[in-house]
Amino acid sequence: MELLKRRFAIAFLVPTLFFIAFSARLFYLQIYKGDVYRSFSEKNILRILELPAPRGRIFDRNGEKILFNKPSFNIQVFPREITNVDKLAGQLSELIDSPKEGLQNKLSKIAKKNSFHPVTIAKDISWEELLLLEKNKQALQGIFLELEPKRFYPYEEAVVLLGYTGSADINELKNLHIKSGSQVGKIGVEKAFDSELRGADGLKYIMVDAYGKAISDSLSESLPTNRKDKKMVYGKDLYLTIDIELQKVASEALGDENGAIVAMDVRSGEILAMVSHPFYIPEFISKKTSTQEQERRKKKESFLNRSTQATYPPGSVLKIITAFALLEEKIVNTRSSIHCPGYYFVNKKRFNCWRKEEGHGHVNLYKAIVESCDVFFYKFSLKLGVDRLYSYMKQFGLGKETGIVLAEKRGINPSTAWKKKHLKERWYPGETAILSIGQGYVTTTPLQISVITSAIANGGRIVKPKIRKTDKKILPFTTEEPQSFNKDSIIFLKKALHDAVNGHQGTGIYAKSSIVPVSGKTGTAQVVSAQVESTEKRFQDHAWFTSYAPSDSAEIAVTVLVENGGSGGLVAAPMAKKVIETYFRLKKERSEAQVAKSN
Amino acid sequence: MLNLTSPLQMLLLFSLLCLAGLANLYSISYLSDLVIFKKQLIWVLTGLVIMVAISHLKPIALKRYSFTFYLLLLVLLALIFVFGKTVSGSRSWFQIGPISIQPSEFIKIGIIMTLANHYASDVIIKKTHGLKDLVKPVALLLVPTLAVLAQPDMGTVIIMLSIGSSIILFMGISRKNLLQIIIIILISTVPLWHFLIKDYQKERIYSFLDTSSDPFGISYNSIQSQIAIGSGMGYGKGFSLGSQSNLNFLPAHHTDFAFSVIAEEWGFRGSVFLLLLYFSIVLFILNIAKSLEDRFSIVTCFGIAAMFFWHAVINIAMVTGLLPIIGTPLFLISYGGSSTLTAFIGIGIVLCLAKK
Repeated sequence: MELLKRRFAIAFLVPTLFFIAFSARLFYLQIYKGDVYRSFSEKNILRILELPAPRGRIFDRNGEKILFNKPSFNIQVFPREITNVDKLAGQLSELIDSPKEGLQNKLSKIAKKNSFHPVTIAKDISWEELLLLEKNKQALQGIFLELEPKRFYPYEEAVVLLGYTGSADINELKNLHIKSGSQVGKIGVEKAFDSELRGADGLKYIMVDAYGKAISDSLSESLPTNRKDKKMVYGKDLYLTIDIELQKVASEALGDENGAIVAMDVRSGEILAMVSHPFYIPEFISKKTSTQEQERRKKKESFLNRSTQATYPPGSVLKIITAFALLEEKIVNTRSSIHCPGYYFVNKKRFNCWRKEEGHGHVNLYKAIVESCDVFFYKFSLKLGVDRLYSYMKQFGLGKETGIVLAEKRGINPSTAWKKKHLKERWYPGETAILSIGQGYVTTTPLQISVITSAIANGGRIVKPKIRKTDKKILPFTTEEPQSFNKDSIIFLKKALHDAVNGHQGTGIYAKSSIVPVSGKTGTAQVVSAQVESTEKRFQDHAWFTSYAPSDSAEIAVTVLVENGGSGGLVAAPMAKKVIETYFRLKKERSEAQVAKSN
Repeated sequence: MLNLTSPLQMLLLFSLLCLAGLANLYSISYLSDLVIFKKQLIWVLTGLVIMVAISHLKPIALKRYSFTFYLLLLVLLALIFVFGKTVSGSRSWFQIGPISIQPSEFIKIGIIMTLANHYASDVIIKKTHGLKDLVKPVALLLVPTLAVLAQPDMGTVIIMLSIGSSIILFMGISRKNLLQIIIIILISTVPLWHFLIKDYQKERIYSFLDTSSDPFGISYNSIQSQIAIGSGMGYGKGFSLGSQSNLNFLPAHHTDFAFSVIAEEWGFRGSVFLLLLYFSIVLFILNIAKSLEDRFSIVTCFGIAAMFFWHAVINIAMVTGLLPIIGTPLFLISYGGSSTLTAFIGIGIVLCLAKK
C-alpha cells in the first residue's frame, strides 16, 4: 500500500505540470499574440463591399443621351465553394460559350486560392448565357453573377469624340488616388471630363459568416476607426454642346472617307458637331477579352480625333489669313492687280498656279480669293515677308492650342526664327511663297481652321471652342488677347468668301445652297511636294472646305477635311453644304415644334 | 477550509464545471433556439440522477459487478457492428428514438473498474510487474480498444489507451519491461500506419506537422480554433459575441471545440479559470484516491482522475494547436450525452467509494 501512496507524488506532479504548460500556451495565444489573432478574426468576418460609382451620363445639347451605362453581367466564383472542378467546368461549358478545358484550367487555379473573395471567370456574358445561368443557378455551387455597369454608345457617330474608358494604369492610379481596376477616361470627352464623370467609389464593411453570406450591413458604429464605410458619389452628368442630329448628318456626309468635320457656333464657339473618320463600332471598346484588346490596340489610330489631334497643311484655306495680312499691312489694296500666266518665278524657280495651263489672267485680290489664284499670293507675300505673315497667323490662333478641353495638337506656324530653331537653316523666299498658299511647313488642325473661319464670320473675334454646354445664357467671347481686326478688311473678305461659293467662277460652287447663303473657301493641300502624277489614294491631295452661313449674319461655321480626298471644291464643299443645310432645317423644325407646343 | 480530500468540495468544483459548460452551450446555441442547450440540460439532469444513485451504492457492489459491467459493454460494442449508426465515418452510436448512445464512452469506466478489480485481486502489490503479469491487464485493455479502433474512433482509442496505460504504469512496471514494451510498440507502428490508420487520419497528422501548407484544407479547423482562442485576448469578446463560433468559422464549436468558444468569449481569464477548475478536479480525485484504504477503490479513483486528466489534456492540446485534430470531447464543456453521463458516472463512483 505504501508503495502506491508514494507513486501518488508523481501522479500529482503530472497534472500540475500540464496545467502550467497549457496556461503558458493560452498566454501565448491570447495575450502575447492576442492582437494578431484578433485581427485574423476580424478579417474572417469583415468583407469590404465595393460600391463602384456609376460614371456620369453624357447628353447632347438637346438633352439626348449619347453615352450612358447599361448593365453587363460577369460570372464570378467563390474559391472556397468549389468542390468539384471537373463537374463545375462541365456544367458551365454547357451553359456558356467557353470550352470545358479552358474553364477547367481556370477553375482549378482559382480553387487553389485560399481567398474568400470572388474571382471573375467570364466578363460581359450574352443575354442567352445569362438566362441559361439564371435557370440553372441552383445546381451551380459557388457561382454567382456580378452586375457591372458598362458604357453604352447609342450613337456610333459620336464614338471618337466621346472616347472610352479603361482600367487605370500605374500613373493614373498614382495621380488620381484610385484603387486598382478603376475605370478612367482614356481618350476623348471621357478623358477630358474624367474627374467629374468618374465620381468616387464607395466602400462598405459587411459582416459575413464562414460561407461568405452577409449577416449584417450596419456595422459603422462597431468598426475600428481605421475601417470606416465610404459613401459612394455618383459621377456627374455632362451636357455637351454637340447636336447629335447634326453629328449624325456630318458623319453621313463624310461617308467612307477618312477625315474630319467640325461644326461650330461662330458666336459662342460651341462645337455643334465634331466628326472623325474612320471610327470603330463601340462593341470593340467594351469587350475586354485579350484578343479584342489587342485588336483595339492595333486600331487605336482610329480613335484619333482628326478634328483636334491630326494636323494637315491648310492649302488655299490659309489664303484667308494671307489676304487679310496683305490688306492690313497695306501691301495691296482692293484695286491692286497682276497678270497670272499660270506660274511665277522666285529666284529662277518656277512656282505653278493651280490653274497652270492657262492661268487666271488679270487678277486682283477679290478674284484671287474667289478663284483661288496662287500667283497673286506668291507675288505679294514676298513683299509681306514670312515674319509678318507669321504674326497674323499667330493672331488667328495657328501654332497653338485653341483651348478646347479635348486633347489637341498645335500644328506648325513657321517663321524665320522657327526654322532656325528647328531646322537650323535660314528662310528662303520661295518658302514664303508656298506658305502664303498654305503649303510647306505650315500645318493646322481642322478645328484651328474652324476658329479662323468663325473669326471672319463673326466680324473679327477669335472665339475659344467649347464642347461643354453651360447654363449661362450669354456666352462671353473668351479671347486670349482681345483682337481688334480692321472691320473694312473683314467686310472685304466676307464678300470675297461669299462669292467664292456663289459667284460663277467660285471654287466653292458646290456648297451653294438654295436654303441659306453660304460663304466659304476651298483648299486642296498637296501631300507630296514633288509633282507625283499618281492615282494612288495616299498621294492624292487633302481636300479642304471651310465655310459659314448665313453669309451676312453668320451662325454656324463648318470645316471639312477629307484625307487624300482630292479637290476641296469637288469633294469637301458638298459635305459642308449638307451639314449647313441640316443645321438650318433642324433649327426651323425645332422652332416650329416649339411654336406648335406653345399653341 | 480547503480540504483536498473532501468529496463535497470536489463536488462543488464539479458543479461549477457543469454550470460553466451549460452557460457556454447556452451562448453557442443562442442563435439556434437553444436546442443544443436544452438537450444538454436534460443530459446533465439525467447524469445528476445517475450520479446520486451510484453514490448511494455499496462500494463492495461496484467491485463485485465491475467485470459484469465490462462484459456487458463489450457485448454492446460488438452489437454496434450490427445495429450501430454511422456518423461522419465512424460507426459508434446506437440510435434509440431521439437518443444517441455511444458505448465507447462508457467502456472507459468499464476498463478502469475491471483493471482495478484485476489489481485488487493480486495477493500482494509487487514493486514491479513482470511481462507475464502484464498479459491479463493488457488484454483487458486491448479487447475493447480494438473494437473501438474498428469503428473507427481514433480519439476514443487514444483516450482508452492513455487511461489504461496510466493505470498499468501506476501499478508498477520494471524499467527493462517498459523498454521492451516501447520497442514492441515502435515496431508495431509500421504495420499499424499502413493498415489501420485511415487516410484522413494520416492527412490530419501531416497537416498538423505543417499547418501553413494548407490553411483552408485539412488543418482549417485547427487554425480557426487558434484564431478563436487568440482573438479572445485578455478579457474576451463577451457572452455569445464570439464571431468565430457564431458565424461558423469554427467548426464543431458545440462539441470538440467548445473550449475555444469559452476562450474566445471570456478571454485569457476565462480559459485559465476553466483550466484551473478542470485540473483541480483531477487533483481532488487523486487526493481522495490517496486517502482511501482498499486497493480497488484507490485504483478506480486513480483511473477516473486519469480519465478526466487525459480528456482535458488531449482536447485542450488539440484546440490550442499542440496536437492534431483527434475527435475528443471535453467533459461537461463539450455537448454530448454519452460523455456527459460518463463524467457523472465517474464522479458518482468517486463519491460512492469515498464514503466513510
